[in-house]
Amino acid sequence: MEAVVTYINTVPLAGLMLVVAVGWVIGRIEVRGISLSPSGGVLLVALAAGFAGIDFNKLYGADAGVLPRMTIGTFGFALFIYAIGYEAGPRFFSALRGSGPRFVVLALCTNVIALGSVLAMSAVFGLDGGATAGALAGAMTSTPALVSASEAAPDIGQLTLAYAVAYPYGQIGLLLMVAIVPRLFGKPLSSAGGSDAGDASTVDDDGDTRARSYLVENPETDGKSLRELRLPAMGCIVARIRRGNDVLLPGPDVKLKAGDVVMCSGRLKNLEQLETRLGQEVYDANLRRSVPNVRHVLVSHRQAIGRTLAELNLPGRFDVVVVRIERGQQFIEPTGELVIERYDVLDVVGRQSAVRDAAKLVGHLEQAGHETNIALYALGILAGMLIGSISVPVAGVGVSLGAAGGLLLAGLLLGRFRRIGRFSANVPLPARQLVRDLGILLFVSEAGVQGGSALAGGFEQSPVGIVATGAVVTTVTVLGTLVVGQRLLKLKPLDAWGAVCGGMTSTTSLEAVNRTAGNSDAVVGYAATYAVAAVLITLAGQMAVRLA
Amino acid sequence: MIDGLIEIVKQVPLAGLMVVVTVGYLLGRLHWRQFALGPAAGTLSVALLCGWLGLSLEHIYGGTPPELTIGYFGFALFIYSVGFDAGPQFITSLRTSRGWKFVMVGCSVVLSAALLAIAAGWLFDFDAATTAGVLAGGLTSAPAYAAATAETTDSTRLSVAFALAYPFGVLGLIFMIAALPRLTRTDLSRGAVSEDEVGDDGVTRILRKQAPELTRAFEVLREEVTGRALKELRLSNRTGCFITRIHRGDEIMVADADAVLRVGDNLLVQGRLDELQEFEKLVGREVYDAELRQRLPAPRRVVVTSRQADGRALKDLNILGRHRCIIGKIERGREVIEPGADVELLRGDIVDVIGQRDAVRAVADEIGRFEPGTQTTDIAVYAGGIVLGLLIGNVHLRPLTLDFTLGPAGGLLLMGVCLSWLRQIAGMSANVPRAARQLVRDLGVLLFVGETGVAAGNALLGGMKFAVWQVLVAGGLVTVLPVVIALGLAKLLKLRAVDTWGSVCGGMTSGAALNAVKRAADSNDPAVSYAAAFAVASILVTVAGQVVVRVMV
Repeated sequence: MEAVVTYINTVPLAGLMLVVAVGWVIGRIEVRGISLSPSGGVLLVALAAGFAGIDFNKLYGADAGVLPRMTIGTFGFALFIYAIGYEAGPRFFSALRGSGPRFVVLALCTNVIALGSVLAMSAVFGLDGGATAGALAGAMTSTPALVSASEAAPDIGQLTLAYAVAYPYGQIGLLLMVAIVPRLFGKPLSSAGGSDAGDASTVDDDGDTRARSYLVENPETDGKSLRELRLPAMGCIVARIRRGNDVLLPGPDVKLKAGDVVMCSGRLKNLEQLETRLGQEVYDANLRRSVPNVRHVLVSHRQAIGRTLAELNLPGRFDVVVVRIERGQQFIEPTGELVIERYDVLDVVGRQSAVRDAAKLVGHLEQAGHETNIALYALGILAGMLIGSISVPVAGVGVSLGAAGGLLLAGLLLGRFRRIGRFSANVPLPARQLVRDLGILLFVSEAGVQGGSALAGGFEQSPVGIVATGAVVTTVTVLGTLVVGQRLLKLKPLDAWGAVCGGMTSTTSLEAVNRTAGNSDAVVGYAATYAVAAVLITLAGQMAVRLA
Repeated sequence: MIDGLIEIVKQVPLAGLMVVVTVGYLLGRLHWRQFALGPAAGTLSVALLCGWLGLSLEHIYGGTPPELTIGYFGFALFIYSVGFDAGPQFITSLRTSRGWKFVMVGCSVVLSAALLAIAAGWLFDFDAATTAGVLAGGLTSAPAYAAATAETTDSTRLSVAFALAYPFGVLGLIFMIAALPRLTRTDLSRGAVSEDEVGDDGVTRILRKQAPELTRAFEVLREEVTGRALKELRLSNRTGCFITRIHRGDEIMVADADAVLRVGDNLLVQGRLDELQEFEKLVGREVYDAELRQRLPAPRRVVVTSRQADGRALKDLNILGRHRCIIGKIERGREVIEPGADVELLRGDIVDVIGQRDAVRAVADEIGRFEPGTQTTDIAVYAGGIVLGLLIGNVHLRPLTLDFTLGPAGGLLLMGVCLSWLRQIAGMSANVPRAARQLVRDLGVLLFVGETGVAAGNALLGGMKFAVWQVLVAGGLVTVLPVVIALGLAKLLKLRAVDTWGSVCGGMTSGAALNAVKRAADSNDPAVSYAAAFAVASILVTVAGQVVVRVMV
């Protein structure tokens, strides 16, 4: 055992990933519909691993308990909170307009309850300032609280230790409450509602664009070149021509012959004219394989804005057809008189090179569906870190949103607008999910291992006192906030749960709630309370150190 | 002003790295004639510059940089993804009738480049790091660079050599792209058609019997078909096609035998083309109905796992004829291949199958199994693979008197290949969706390159002598000669122009070059040979990065 641990400690990153992998499996084991959730599982495994001697301190080049400000765990945390914000973006702003003030009240309520109960309990058990603040941060599974308290506490080792000791119940207790309390209120969380304000998911539909093949039979067409036939003006694009064994690429000078099979792309009503123009519709499997795709062109060039489609004359100039126009979330029929606006998205069919040329005239080709523009992604993180670092003095204490708050805000904005200027900031769903899940697990894994090694080191303060304090704080705060939120402020269950997590600035709890509910609607309540709570909890963490 | 900005970035942890990644990615995507530097090289240049301007790792981490850095994490994710992407094809692409030729051409690029780099290193008296940098830069290969970084202690020289040689790799590609259309036009613009549908006189004949079922929507216009139940109308008997759904007002109903049609109803009808044309004459006219369209059978994704299907051409499998299902597209590794009659399926391909539910299931049973539809990544397998890769890479093998390890890059590659192979072929239920892989891979490499670049730029600040001209010459050699050698080899093997260029691009592991070839051909055909060559070459080039360092030391 010892040999294994020593070995893993010598391989960078192996310990961290091991904890994540094993914890994820354990977190997904379900007993009677209740599971630990991946982050809970990872936390348990991490504590055990840390206790068994897995140790990142050597790799981080840090003294016991103190990490450098930026580690893989904190980086994962940044990615997670950013992804959460991005997801909530579209719903957040409309929800805020409706019930914003109630969320602010709730955030205040959460922090007052938490601070009050932790001070009372620490008086009972005689805990010092560091342990009290650590218990508070751990019970609320709140990183901002830990960070702010560590600036005021005399002994950071004991603070982290108390955090680690109170943390498991903060997490596991919350998981239990998430599973049990909604049933007491009448129905499980997975069927409870949150704010419903529009779904931002984009539908991947190419309108009624389709490709069909026609056998050239009409004697009038025989021998005519594509230029003479002027099919694009009829709303159809020739994609491929088959003549005997050969598949020809269409060009303006290609002349059609009787017996050719022509595959055309366009909208149904336009294609129907082709039966009279060319000949009977036929099925040709060999042509089917080169159906041209619809590409999306974003209008951004000044020359194109404010002009009508007829003026632009894309079919005549480039051999492409505009099949549909997307403006806002609406689809518009492309008629000749339609005036093009900035950020319209034209759905264009044609040969690759032709579409590319047409796109150059009016704007840009949008990215393919599963690509992420990393520049914008990284820019958002940069903006979040910078916003979070801005510090404003309040009552002698430097208050800032913190990295988490800043990143949440940046994510919300990016998720709301989904583009900066002419660049699409779309992050595909699977990519978002992996980054989000991996991010939080890395963070939990790191924090847990630190806690586990601290556990192995022993305590100065009574561990029983810290655990009891933490347990009381977690339970009282969560239940108190829920009662206020659901009964007094009449919030919907998922909004209230989101607000509980936001009020505690606890990202791990949010993850647990999301997983129990089966969707991420709780993020709305979370994000709405978070900004206020991030400021309050910074104060609460420092006050706990000083008052205890 | 600028000093102030730099100061702010230095104060906030992570901000410096993100600046580098943002600007570098944008720089890498600036393009001239459809050619771009690429995000990795762009980020490296920006990182070197920022490092030289005074940004250091201390700023990024807000303290002493840990041994286990974010860059190393990015490195692990990136190399692992390279293996994961190459995965199934790495093994199966050798088996098709022409596949081994593509692979040979691709490998000849990498191997000759590696030998040239070593020769140049010996000639100009480079150290190991510089030689590896020349190889990676000349081939514009970020994986080779990453793998070499893990082997060498002097990553500064490696980074600088990589950054210097890279533009030559780019110039080589620009030359290829400019020359390609001329070199290949005649050959590329004609595709081959399977011969069974063309008569001796060369006139196209359409085989109606082979036509698959289509689904179209019609509006009821003729009074003759209204007022009586469908079972009395016997439309199916008369035309051969089936009405599956009726759209009336806001309601969509299942069309059962007792249903009565009304004028204005929209019908969803399934049948062969000629049957549908007959139906249209009897009932009304074809319409576009967005709501009915949603009821159309969506393509199901089927992973090819069966040995019977492996290496067989689509025309031999005859899925169209036997199951009346259409193959929509074939996903092979990172490439999408159009399903021509001669395309051979490989185990690990993901095929879009369109048709009636039972028929699609029969196809899936025959050639493989459905791909899990979930968009969630199986993190246990993902993270577990990384752990195993790191551990395997750290195992010391001592055959004879040698001390040999795979190194983290080798271990991660191996695990990546194995896991994705297990996932695709052996049916292990581990899902890593494509978009997720792509983000992790791209972000990983940029974080890694950004960090090493900043460190290297910082070291340059201290002043370092560097054999600039020699590196440039060597980089040029490594770029140009391997392509020439590979083209010669392809000639010997009598490959078509499309396949030759596809394999060469695969050997250079350059997606940008492949896109240029595709544009020249206005076809997706080169993707087949590219996918085969790429799978093996991407692994080989990564290993080459490691090996060159070890040989030169």
